[in-house]
Amino acid sequence: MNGTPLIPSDVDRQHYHLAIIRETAAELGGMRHPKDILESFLMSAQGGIGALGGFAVLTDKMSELTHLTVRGENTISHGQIKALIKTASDYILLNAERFPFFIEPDTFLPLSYGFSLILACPIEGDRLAFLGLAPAMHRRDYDPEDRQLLMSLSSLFQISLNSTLFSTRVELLNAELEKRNTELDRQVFHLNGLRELSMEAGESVDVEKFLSAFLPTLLGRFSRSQGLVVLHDRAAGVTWLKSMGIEPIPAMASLPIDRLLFLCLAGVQYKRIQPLQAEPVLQIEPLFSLIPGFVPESAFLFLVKDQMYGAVLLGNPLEEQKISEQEKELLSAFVAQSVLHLKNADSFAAIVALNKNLEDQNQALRETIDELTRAEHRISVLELAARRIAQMVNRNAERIMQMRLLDFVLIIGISIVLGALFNLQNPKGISFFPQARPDGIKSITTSDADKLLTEENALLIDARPREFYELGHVKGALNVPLSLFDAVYKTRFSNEDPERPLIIYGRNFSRLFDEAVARKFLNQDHERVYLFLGDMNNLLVPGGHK
Amino acid sequence: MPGLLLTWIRHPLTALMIRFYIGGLFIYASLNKINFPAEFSDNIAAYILVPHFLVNPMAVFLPWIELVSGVCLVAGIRVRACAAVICTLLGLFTTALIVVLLKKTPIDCGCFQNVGDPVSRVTLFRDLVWLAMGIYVFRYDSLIHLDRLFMIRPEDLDGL
Repeated sequence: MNGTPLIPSDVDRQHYHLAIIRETAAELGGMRHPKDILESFLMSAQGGIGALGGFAVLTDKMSELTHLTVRGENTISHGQIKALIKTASDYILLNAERFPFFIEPDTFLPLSYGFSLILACPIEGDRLAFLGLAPAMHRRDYDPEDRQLLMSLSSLFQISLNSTLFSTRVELLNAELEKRNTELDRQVFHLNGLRELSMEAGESVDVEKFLSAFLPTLLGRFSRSQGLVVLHDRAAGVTWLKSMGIEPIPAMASLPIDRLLFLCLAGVQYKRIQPLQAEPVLQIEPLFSLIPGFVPESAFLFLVKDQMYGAVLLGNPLEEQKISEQEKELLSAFVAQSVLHLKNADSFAAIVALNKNLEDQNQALRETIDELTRAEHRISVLELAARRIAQMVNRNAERIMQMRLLDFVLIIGISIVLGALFNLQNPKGISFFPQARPDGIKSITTSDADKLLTEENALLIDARPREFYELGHVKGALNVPLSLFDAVYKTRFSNEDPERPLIIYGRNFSRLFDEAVARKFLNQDHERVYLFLGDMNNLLVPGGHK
Repeated sequence: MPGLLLTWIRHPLTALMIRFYIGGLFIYASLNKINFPAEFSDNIAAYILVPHFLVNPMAVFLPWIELVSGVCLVAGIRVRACAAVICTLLGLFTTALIVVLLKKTPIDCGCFQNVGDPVSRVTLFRDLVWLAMGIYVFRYDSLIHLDRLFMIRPEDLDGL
């Protein structure tokens, strides 16, 4: 395509033009760079119409040249091309042309700098491409065939350039996307780290265990080789210290924890840290020499709750690269999340302690309830016993006020016993049982008594007490009361014939006076003593009865 | 006035004093009869109310019943039962006195001594008064009961 053959006829010329168009299309199809496309377009156009030289330019949105190709014999400078293009650009943008068109040099561009044809080609994205061709060889004028060829070539050029620019934009976008994807992957990686940390923290509600899991996760996620975390609970007087990758291993006793935390506080921007907040330590230099074998690259000071605070110190990254702001933000979020988990662990510990306390109190309460239940049972038993006692007391009180057969039995029984015993030992005691009538005392009938009285001068004796005798007695009867027997016998019977029959009467319902007196007479050796048991009024006595 | 009289009549102290009197009376009355059972048996026989085979047992045991009842009455042991016994005895004595008075039997009472205490209407009235006292003690006495000395009283259990 570099040679310019003479075209003998229009048909041959059209064939030639078509061949140029075909070859140009094939060539442009494999090109990706705008400069290459411009060069190919200029060569095809210049060769196709036999121009002595030309230029092809591509501008950006601001009508500034981005690509420029000059060929052939011409003396136009870059400045002139710029001026030319600037003027043309204003016109094209003003009219919003979309398809290639020729710019007539005489009409629109007073300064054509000797170029016979100037073709303007709008490109996507408000960009413009210009083709300027010098006059043809042999001073031939360009005819419509030449213009047609150029239009066709410019269409190809436009399509190819648009495609290339589009591809370039797509590639740029892809690159940008890939970059962003990489960044996103990193963020996802860190967020996964946060999620894993949350999951691990969710399984671990112990501060010690959490710190043991947190530090390796933090160092791993952010590619740190050394790290240290310290947590101090001032109220409880407990301090936790975890470190990784630091040689020698910092010991709790030797590490100036208070100074460490103080320096961290001095290095933060906002001194009034709120609970669950983590502040980055901006002035980290004072910490460099605090821990042997460890020079922290970044540090965070956090407050879990009032009187419970700590710090996280991280060493340099494994890869020597500057940490992006986004990573710093992620690191800060990581630490903040960890503080939240620490708070949860601390709260859990407090809850466990409360539960333990509650459990102890519940146990004490249960024991108290059991004791109360037992006491209540005892009280119930005692109350029941008290009621029964009260009932017994009332019954006893009623019983005491009541008479019982036993009372009478006891009174009479005791009386009988005492009476019997006393009577036995009493010299004046009397016999309980009546004495049997002695054999020497016989009872007689009325007629026998009459006979004895009349024939044998029997003596009639009234044995009743004097009072009864005074009330009435048989005339002639002699009163010999039992109580006065001895006196009467002495005075009256001392000289009496013991053979003289004695008829004694005077018994009643309550007393056998006659038998008692008859016994007395018998004891006085009177042999003939008789008891008259009949009615004394029936006795026939001299003088009757009194 | 009637209220005050009623109050004094129902007063436990009144019943207590009468109880002591009746108890002491019977103790005194029993002592002579216990020592002289033969004479007392004559007194019993004089009433001609008791069969001859019971005269001697009565003469021996009756004074002891009087003594035991009197002592228990004074001590406050089974007061109501003792009061009932004494009232029964007084009832029997009063009945016997009424019979004797109706029969106009000139006998001695035999209550405190064997002789020198003839039965008369005064004796009957006296026995009736004592009988009333005995009934009064049976009804109203409530103080100083020895058999309740060591007993828990219902009033001590207030609240149970």
